[in-house]
Parts: sequence; structure tokens; C-alpha cells
Amino acid sequence: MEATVSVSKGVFLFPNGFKRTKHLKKKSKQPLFESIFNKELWYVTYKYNWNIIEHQLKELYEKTYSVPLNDIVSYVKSIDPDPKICDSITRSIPTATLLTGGNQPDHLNQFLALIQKIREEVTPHVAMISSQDAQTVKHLVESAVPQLIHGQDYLDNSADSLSEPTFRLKKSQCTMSSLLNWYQSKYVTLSSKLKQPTPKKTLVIIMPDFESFSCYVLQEFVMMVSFYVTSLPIVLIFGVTSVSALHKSFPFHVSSKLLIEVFHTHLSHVYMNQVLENIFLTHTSLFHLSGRAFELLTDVFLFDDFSVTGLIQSIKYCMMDHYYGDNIKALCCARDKIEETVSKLTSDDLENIRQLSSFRPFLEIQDCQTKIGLFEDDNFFSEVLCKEMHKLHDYLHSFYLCVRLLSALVKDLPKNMLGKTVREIYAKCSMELITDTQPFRACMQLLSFQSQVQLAESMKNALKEINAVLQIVSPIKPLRATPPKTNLNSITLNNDLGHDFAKSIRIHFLTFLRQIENANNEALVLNNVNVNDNDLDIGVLPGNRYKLKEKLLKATRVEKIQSEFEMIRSRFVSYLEEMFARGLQPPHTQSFHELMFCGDVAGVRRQRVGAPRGALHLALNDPVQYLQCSCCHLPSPESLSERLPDVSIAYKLHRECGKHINLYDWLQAFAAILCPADQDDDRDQDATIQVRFTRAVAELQFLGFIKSSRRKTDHVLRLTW
Amino acid sequence: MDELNEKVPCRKTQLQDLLDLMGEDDEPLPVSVFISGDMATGKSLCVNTVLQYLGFKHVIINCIECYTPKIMYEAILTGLYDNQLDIKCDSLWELMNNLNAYSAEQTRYEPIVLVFDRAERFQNMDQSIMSTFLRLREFCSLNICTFFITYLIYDNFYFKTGVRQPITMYFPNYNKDELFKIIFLHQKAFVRHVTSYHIVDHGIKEDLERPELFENFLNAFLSVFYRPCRDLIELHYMAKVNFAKYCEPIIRNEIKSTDLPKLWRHIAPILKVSLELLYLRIHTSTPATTSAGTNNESTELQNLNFKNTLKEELLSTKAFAQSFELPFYSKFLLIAAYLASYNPPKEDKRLFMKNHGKQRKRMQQVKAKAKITEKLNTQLGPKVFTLDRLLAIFYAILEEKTGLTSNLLSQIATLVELKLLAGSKEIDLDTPKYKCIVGYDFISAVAQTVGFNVRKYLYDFI
Repeated sequence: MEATVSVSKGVFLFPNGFKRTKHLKKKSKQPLFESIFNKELWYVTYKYNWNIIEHQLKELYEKTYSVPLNDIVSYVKSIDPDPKICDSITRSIPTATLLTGGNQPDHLNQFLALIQKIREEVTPHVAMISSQDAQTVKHLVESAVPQLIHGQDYLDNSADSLSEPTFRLKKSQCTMSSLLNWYQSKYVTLSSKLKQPTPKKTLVIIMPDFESFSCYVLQEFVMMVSFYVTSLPIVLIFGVTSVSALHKSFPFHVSSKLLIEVFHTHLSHVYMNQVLENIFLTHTSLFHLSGRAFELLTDVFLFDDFSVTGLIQSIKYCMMDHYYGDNIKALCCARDKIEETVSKLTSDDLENIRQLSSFRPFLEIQDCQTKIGLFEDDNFFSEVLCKEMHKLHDYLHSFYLCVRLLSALVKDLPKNMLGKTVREIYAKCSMELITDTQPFRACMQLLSFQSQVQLAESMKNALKEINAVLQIVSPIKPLRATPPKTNLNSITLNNDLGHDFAKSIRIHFLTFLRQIENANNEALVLNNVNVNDNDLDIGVLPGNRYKLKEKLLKATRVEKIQSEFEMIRSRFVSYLEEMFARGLQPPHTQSFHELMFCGDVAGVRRQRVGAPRGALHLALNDPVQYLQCSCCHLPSPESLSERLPDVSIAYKLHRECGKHINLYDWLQAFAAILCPADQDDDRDQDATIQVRFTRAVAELQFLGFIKSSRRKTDHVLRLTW
Repeated sequence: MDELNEKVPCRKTQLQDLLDLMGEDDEPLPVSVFISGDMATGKSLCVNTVLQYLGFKHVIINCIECYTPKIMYEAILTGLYDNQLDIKCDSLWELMNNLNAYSAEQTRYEPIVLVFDRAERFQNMDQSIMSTFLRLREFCSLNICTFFITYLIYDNFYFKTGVRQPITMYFPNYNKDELFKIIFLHQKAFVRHVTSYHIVDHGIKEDLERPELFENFLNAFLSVFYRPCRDLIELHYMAKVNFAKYCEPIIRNEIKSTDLPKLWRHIAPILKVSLELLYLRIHTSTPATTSAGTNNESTELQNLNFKNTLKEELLSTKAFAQSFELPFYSKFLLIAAYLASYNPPKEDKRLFMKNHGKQRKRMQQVKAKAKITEKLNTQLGPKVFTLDRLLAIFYAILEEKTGLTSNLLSQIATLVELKLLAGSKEIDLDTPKYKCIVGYDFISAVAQTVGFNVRKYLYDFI
């Protein structure tokens, strides 16, 4: 160690020639949990499944957002980088405005994708400036210019310093004029030297969160850019919530410099519905949420933040929580892997499966010998397990099919009783047997009042759903061809679901549809005659109410069976009721559903929905919850004891006070709890108690419960209620 | 001179004045010239063309760009030294030193002009800077002159210490004939603009290129637009948009290019619509290169529809409110914020609690309420409220129970970001204060979407 000449003590930094080899390390080092868990069965399955889901999400994302992105990119492309064309008097900056939704947590990804696309297809010079980087005009320019000049490597280079660019501007040198110099040296002079025009590239500046910028800074920036726009082909891209925001923040002399083009994106709840319907609410999805957990997540989305990213992260959390540390959850996998996974399970794992609560009802319906076999013989049990898992998959298949069918049929009904989207119906169906509920019956009743055209229309939609499902399934043949062993025959099967079920539904629907379309309403004429008869009767017997009523009743009864269409319709509805009752059994009635469904709502709520004040209150009111010590046990949460931490005592006392708290009274009460035996009046004189009290009060102030007030010096202000 | 007049139309006297001021090659320049005039009256253009014509060494500085004076000084020096890159100059005296050094290098008394465009920015800078530049000649031995170009008049600049008065020039607005002449100069560009979007037959193209057609259009256009707008840039832009529409029936072969009354009848309603979009500068999706046909019409219709909704959004707060896409609780938070801002805190108990007891009406109160309709809370501005009060009202008006989660709290920040609420300037962690800055119409539109009756909870309407 070298000596220093300094007299002061301190830590001195000696450069020792150590160079960071960061990126070398990076390759060799996996994330910590990866290295720990990568041998575990559940982790492998989780990783595999999540990758599939992530891939699907990405595809969907690209599909939905490609339209607006492509529009913008082609717009940027269409702007000629040659400044001569744009007339010099107007000096207007081409501006693309992307109308994004009100909440913007998801939009960063969108803009990153946009940048990627622009870089690939149009120009390497793209800068993205967020409002945090642009407190003043100076900051704005100084963050935009280097990004434009150095392009993509600017951000990457800050991470690893090995590939340094040939020249790098200092922050203070990054001005518009230096940008102009750079641009001209790069494109203008170069092309004149080479005698052949190199294509000029546009400069793109993106501001994703337009509203958070200060208006003044933006105005200045726009004016500045408009001054240069004749020599620099700059395109601005704003992300705004509504067009009026643009006009609100720009006065005329600024907005006249802009040539605004508006692009729309999807509303985020539309995108959410797509994500859920196409990825998670299908039988091919590898992971399922129970009804309540699902409802919680969608509620968070709809009520709180409108953030699809947040929703996906929540689902990912649920998935991690579901799989974590539990090998039996590896069974939550694709259908063709069940046998493989079951064979990998140890006998401990099998024992764990036997502990599942849904195993019990399954057990109860078996006969005695099978019961013993299930408990004693691991091989036999795992075979049964395979079979049951397949059954579960079949069940899922028909369950989702029925959910979709129901949504297709119910969508156009008035009053919107079951909800309009697949996710709403899913949430309802997976919580209880929907055919027993009032709204379902009402819906069926409404269906039985629908006109011929309407009914045929919604049936066609339903048929489309079935066909789509059948198409997905057909390549994956159900693997139930394994020859059943001797004992298996004795296991009672409930009625067959799955692929065949879907097929039979399709056939039924087709026949019903044909019948309905062909059915005619010829009986209507007959009805009318009947009604006329009735009228006559009423005319004859005005006084006799009872008879009239009877007649009317009879008439209605007669009417009902008249029309052929009505007959078919009622048959169809009763068929629907029967079919849905079969297909829409809620998941928790199935055996081994715990393996496929994540149902830990409380855990999800605790982890994904942060409640800071609730947590604080719980911690201070009942410290046992967090400390988990024996001394702090309280008979009831309201009671006080001297063994509690000081803050907790002070907190509980302060909850009894009004808006202003007298410190002296508070101290008195505090001291009375700490030493209840002392009858002295001067126990509050004790220095330790005073110190403890002061500290507790200071901590409460730090936590934001109280605040000292200037008006009354011996009082503090309570801040929460 | 004619050459200049051709380049800058309709500014004959101003150009002449400028030339007179500059004098011949060796004559000393005026110390400083102050040019004022409205936007888009050709100030910068005149100065630049004259300087280029005379071939004087000149530096043009855009004052907006100079957020620090340092940038301005360095820009001056780099301009003088022909774009040398490594020039450092932090302060005025350094600039003077540099200028003197520069003059020592010069062999002859060369005229130098510094042009400060958008000189109104000097008002925000240190006063000494402008007063120095007003008499720059005195500080260095150069034949140097400073031009200030701004839309303000000289009287708007106030100096504590007396300064040397610059020579002032005023650029008046263009009148109708001049506007016509200037826009007419760009006829070719207009026609090109139209033809670039449509595939046009050769014969029709020739028709379109006839100057009389454009002349007619321009006459019609200016007769509508000249009254509300005198700004050349805006007029130019609007003319471009509308000329394309003017030509459409000709391209589709529906109206002959010589049939002027019919063309006028076609364009009059369009002009009326676009008059409402004046200054908005919204250009919706560029029409694809479709040949004349029905396809074009449908996109046209769509465009018009979009413009209409846009206009609505700007004009009525209701449509504006519905254009916001807010989560459910956010809407309630916003409503709660509105109620907190426009109700007196004393009345909260009465408004939001079920068993608030009866209020005894005192004669005084009744009188007070009767006579002060102008003192209605909704008519006065929004009042500041604390976070606690906001949350209390939020929970009172929300029928279902929900926890106080971090998601909920972050919504408040989002509302502030969207400029629906205003946070207090200084950040006070203990008692954050807010103000609701949207109006009654907005709130009632939002409340309608969640089925909530705002009037029921407003003190003024009880």
C-alpha cells in the first residue's frame, strides 16, 4: 500500500490498472436463481412454459401494433430529406403525433419498437427524449444532439467503454449549430466530394410523454428546430393523449411551424382483451388462473391502471408463485409431456399429490380395491394420474369452448347480463356453475325470444368459434391411445369431454342452424286468427273476467306450439342449457385442478397490489404479524401492553386523539402504559421514558403520521385518518 | 435592385431603405439597426438577401437557440473565423478581446454585420448584453453593425441606463393584393403538390397548370380567408390544402376547369369547413395515390369525419372529456377532486355523510345565499384541497369498498401529469395539496360515463 502525503484520515483511491472485464463475465455468469434451480423439474417446466407464452405475447404485440407503427415509419420515410423541396417560407417541421391512451405505462415499449423499426428501415439518427431529461431547453438539446450524432451506440457505449467512438462531443458543445456542422460534414460535403449523391438521412426526434414536458421548453425547442429545418431534415414524433393537448401547449406562432399528422393506436383495454382471449383464455394455454385471481387482476387493470404490461407481469408473478419449489406443479405442462413428467416424479412428489384436496372427492367414488391401489402402488397411481391429467385437459378444452360459445351467443343480447367479453364470462363461469345462476337463465330466456335472423347470426358466430377450436386441436391428436391396464377399467369415468365433445356440438349446431334457417313462421297466420277469435269473445263477454283470463291463458298456450321456428328454437335453447351444464362445470370441481390452476388470491393480492398504509397500520397495530415474537401477543388488536415496541404504543395512543395532540398528555398516557404499577404523578419525569417517548414521536413523524405545528408549540398535528 | 425585388416581392421600399443604410463597400456602416414587424412579413428574408447581395461578411444568430449567452458569443466568433470548431468564449469581455484580436488580423476595414434574429429574447437575458451589442462599434475597431430582428417594437425594450438609439425600421403587414401576388408566385409548387398525389391525364395536367385556374382559386380563397387571417404562412398552408380539393373534381372529370361558377359552388362549403380548422394545423392521413374514383371519395369522407370529431373535441369539453381514456377509479378520483375544489370544506359533512342531521336555516343564511349568485363556488376558481380530503370524498362517493393501494395513489400522480389536477408548487410530503383544474362540463361528461350525478353533491346546487 502506498503512503499518502495527506494528513487527514480517509479513504484514498489509487488507480491500480485494473480494467473491468465486464462483458466477459457477463457471458459466463447466469442469473443467480437460474444456476440454483436449473436442475429442478418445476423450474425447467416453468421456464419452458413462460418462454412459450412470452413468444406468443410478442407475436400478438407485433400483430396489433404493426399497423400504427408501420404508418408512422412510412410517414417518416415519405418525408424527403432534401430540404429544397419543402418550401422555405413555411419552414414547417413535419410532425407525427401518435395518439396514445390516457395512461402511459405501456407506451415505452411501443416507442422502443418504433425506434427499432425506424433504425432498421429509415435512418440511424433517432433520439428519444423523455421529460425527465428535459427540465430546461439546455438539457433538452444536450440530450437530443448526442443521441442524434452518435446514433445507437451512444447508449450502448456508456455501458462498455472499450469501443470508443472516434470523436465525442462534450456536453456543453452539444448545440444545434454543432449538429448542423456534423450533419453537413457527414452528408453534404461528402456527397459533393464523391460526386455522387449519398442519400441524406432524416433526423428523428421522439418525445414519448408529451404532456409531461413543460410547455415553455417545448415551444422553444420547436422554434429552434424550425430555424434549422431548411438545412436539417428533422422529423418530430410526439406521443400525446389527445390532440387538444398539442394545441393547449402551443400558441399559434409555434404551432404554425408544425405540420401535424395524426396516428391512432389501439385503446389499451382492447389490447388487454386480445391478450387475454388469444393467449391466456384458451385451452392451449399452459397455465390457468382461477376465477377469483383472474378477477382480481382484471379489476386492477380496469379500475386502477390500464396497464397491459402490469397485467402481464402480474400473470407472470402468479405463474412463478404457482410453480415455485413444487415439483408436482411440473405437471402443469403441455399435453404431450404428461407421461414424461409423471415418470420423473419421485414417490415424495406423488405423496404430495395425494395430499391435494381435490383428490379426496375423486377417491370417494372409487371402490375399495382401487383405493388401496391408489395409496399403495406408486406405479398404479401415476398411471391414474396420467389419465386424470388427460381428462383435465379434455375438460379444459370443452370448458373454454363452451365459454366462447356462450360469449358468442350472449354478446348481442340486451341488458348485458353476463358481460360482453370472453374474459367476463370466463370469470363468472370459473367461479360457480353458471347454469344455476339467475343471469344465465335470464339470458337463455332472452335467447328464446330472439328472432330468426338474429339467432341464425349468432349461431354462425358460434360455429366459427367451434371451427377455430377444432382447427387448433386437429394436429395434436389426443394421446389417449395407450391401452388401459386391467385395473383402470374399474375407475368410473364421467361423461366424455374433449375433442369428441366439440365435434358433437358442432354437428348439433349445424343441424339446428339448418333447421332454423329453413323453418318458416307459417303458423303466425293461424295465431292471428286465434287472436281475432279472442277479440270477438271479449266483445261478447265483457263482464266475465275469470273466463276471459282463462281464455287468454289458453290462447297463449296454444300459440306457443304453433310455429315451427319457435319449436326448434325452444329445442335449441334446451339443448344449449343441457350442453352448457355439461361443459361449464367450474374448474374447482375437477380432480387435480390445483395442478393447473393458480388459485392463491390472497397471496397475489398481497404481492401485486401494494397497500402501503395498510401495511404500516398492520405493523404498528399488531407487531406480531411482522416481528413474530412471543412477547408481543395481544389478546385483541386494540389492546395495549408495555411489551410492545415504543412506536407501536405511541401509534395506538395517537389514534385515540383528535386533530391536535397535546404532547404532554400523550407522554402521560405513554408513561402510564410503560409503568402501570407506579402511582406517582411524576413517572413522566423519568428520563428514560422521556427519551423513549421522544424517539417514538420522532419515528411517527418520520413515517408521516404527525407533524409539528407552529401555531401551538406543545401540540402536534395528526395527518392521517 | 431588380434582382432583389424579384427575390423578395412586395418589399420594394424596405429593400431600398436597407440598401441605403448599408452604403457602398468602404463606407462605415450604421452602428445598429432595429427591425420590427409582425410575423411573416419578410424581415429576415429581406435582411438576408440584401446581405448576400452585397456580399458582406455576416453572422446570423438565432437568439432562441442561445439559452446561455455563451452560445451566442461562440456563434459570433465561429461565424467570423469561418467555422473553426475550437472556440471558447464565456463572457462579454472575452468576446471583446477576441473581436479586437480579430481586428488586428484584418488588413482592411471590412464591413461585418451581426444579425440577431428573434431579438425579443434579449429581454430575458442580462440587460448589459443588448446594450453592449447596440453600441458594439465603440468597443472594437471594426466596421461592424448589428441588426435586431423582432416582432416587438423598440419601445418594448426598456433599459435602465440610457443606450444609443438604433435606427428603427418597420415592416408593415402585406395587404390582400400583395398576399395574392406572393402566393401566386408559388403556383408551380401548388400544382406539383396536387399532381404528386394523383395520377393525372396529360390534358388535365395542362389544364391544371394554367395560371388562370389558380388565379381564380386564389381569389375565391382570399375572399374567405383574408378577414380572419393575415398570416402569410398560415394562408399559404391553407391554400395548399384547399387547392388540392379545388382540383379534385377537375381531375375526376366532373367539372370543366373553365366552368368557374360550378367550381366556386364546389369549393365554397369546403372553404367554410376549413376555415374552422384554421390555425389547427392538423393534417390527417395523407391520401394515398389513388386515381380518380370512388375509393378516393370514401377516404375523403373519412377525413372529413375525423376532422369534424377533432373540431368537436376542441370546441366542446364534453367530447374532449370523453376522449380521455381513464381507469374507473381515476374517474372517481377526478370527480372527488372536483367536488373538493368547488365545495366549501365546512359542508363536506352535510354533503357526503348519510346521517348529517338537519341544518337549521337561519334567516341570515337564506338572505346571504339569495343575493350572491355571483359568489357561487362553481363560478369562482377552484380551491386548494389536501390529499386527505380528496381521499375522504373519494371513499364517500365510491359505492364499493376498495383498499388504499399504491395503485390508487399513483393515479393521482397520473392525473397531475395529464394536467387535470394541479399539484402545489413546493413539494410538501406531509400534506400534499392539489387543485382540480377542469371545468364543470368536463366533470359532468366524465361523471356521466360512470353513472354519477355531480350536481347532487355540489353545494351550489343544493
